[in-house]
Amino acid sequence: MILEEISQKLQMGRAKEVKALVQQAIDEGLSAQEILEKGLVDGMNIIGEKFRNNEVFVPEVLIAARAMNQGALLLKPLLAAEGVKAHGKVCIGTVQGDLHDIGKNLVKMMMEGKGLEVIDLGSDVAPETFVETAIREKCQIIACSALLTTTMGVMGEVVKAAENAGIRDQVKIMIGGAPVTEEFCRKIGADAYTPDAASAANRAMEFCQALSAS
Amino acid sequence: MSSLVQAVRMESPDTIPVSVGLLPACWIRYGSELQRLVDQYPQFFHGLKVDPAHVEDNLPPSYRKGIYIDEWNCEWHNEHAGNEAIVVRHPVRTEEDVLSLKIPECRDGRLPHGFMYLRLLDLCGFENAMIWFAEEGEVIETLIDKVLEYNLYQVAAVLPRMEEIICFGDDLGTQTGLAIGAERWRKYLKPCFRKLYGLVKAYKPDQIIYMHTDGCIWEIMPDLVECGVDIINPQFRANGLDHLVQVCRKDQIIPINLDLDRQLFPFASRSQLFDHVAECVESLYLPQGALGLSVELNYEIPLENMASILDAVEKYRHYRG
Repeated sequence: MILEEISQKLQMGRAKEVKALVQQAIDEGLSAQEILEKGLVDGMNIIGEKFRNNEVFVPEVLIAARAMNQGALLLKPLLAAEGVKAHGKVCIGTVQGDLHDIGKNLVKMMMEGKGLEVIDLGSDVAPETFVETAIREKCQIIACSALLTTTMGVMGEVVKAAENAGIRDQVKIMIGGAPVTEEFCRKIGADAYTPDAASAANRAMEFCQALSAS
Repeated sequence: MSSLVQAVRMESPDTIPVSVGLLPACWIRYGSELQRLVDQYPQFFHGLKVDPAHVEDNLPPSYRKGIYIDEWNCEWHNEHAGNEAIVVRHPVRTEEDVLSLKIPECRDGRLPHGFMYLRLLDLCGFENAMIWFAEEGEVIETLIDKVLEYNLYQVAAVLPRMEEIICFGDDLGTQTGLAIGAERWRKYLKPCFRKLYGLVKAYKPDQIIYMHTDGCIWEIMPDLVECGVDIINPQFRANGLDHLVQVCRKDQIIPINLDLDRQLFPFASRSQLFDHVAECVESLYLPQGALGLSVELNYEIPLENMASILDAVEKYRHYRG
């Protein structure tokens, strides 16, 4: 019951109420993992699906994500104590030469909403930075964003940098942004193109589940 | 009278009007090679002569490489001279900042690209703006009121010097739609555009208002017309041809200066570029007008592709159905 309420309040973006309910759930003895999965992540999944279907828009997603963060802060030390790990780890950034970060930030939020750990490299990120971060942080996914046709070519350099570093078979490379297409994704040898933030989060989750099963 | 004016007024122009924009970065990269190309298409460039050696010296501040701070105290960064900078530091960080925000004092008619909606995002950042839109309270209303008040001063300043067409630019859409949704846009932004364009029409009722907007905006195109816009410059790819045909031809006739698919230009073959222009013209052509073709060329497009695009629009601007 309380988990359902957490999910509902999160969908409404009620950060203070979510925080209070998460604390109440902890006090009642529910495990942190259960609160995370059946409360917070459940709420973000519903918001993500509604966003994909144009039933809600960016403002609703942002206030839901803010509410999730409030609850997740309380859970973080408990999850660590329980030995619970994130479903997967992603490093994300806008490629070198490109300062646009709105799309990248939305994808990050949606991925976090799925329970993934996301390392945000910001914008204007060099190919080697993506790869070095993926190696150092043991990321399963590198996610690259570009808004410009002048910068999307850098995504191909990220793929090559991963090949040169010998990690191409250990990471999935996802790409997105206004000029990017499925055809371009195939051409540069990336693993997935997704047209919107919610789809990107779903695809990242699928990758991580497949990797952990293998 | 220009053919674009005839197209807007639906007075059956002889050819479909074509406008070609060359971003300064093109001149920086290609220099005299680009001048030779321009010389081959006088019908589009009307004798344009550019000295490539002085392009960088003459760039407006927001097109120079590096940092630029505008009149609202927004900090723009640019990685590549000749392309437009973007705002990376926003002066409004808190609700108190919104309430204490001072409207810049200049009243010189400056209405840059992104003058209304994007200005909100530039001032406080995308995430703050979206959260304040979600809250639908005093904060977002105050911010909008201040930007609108400033813009009303600027529009008033340009009224006496308007030419046949006055152009406004503001990217209202994202890749897939309006970030805030159409209904919230109608509640908060539509009244602003109605007031701004209403000022123009009150001064000169037959003034043509041209509005450029990037992103997926097809669902509010009729709203823009209601606000006073006479011709819209929508993007092909973000909106999709089917939506544009439905909204601008089947539901009602809305004049458009179609922004051809600039994201296709760098990568397409000559035949693909011809097919693209043909598809657009064949889908949107009306004998009375209401159609223009807009081509924006940037430095990543090979010169031979630029020539192919220009050949394609030259061929199809004579299309008669």
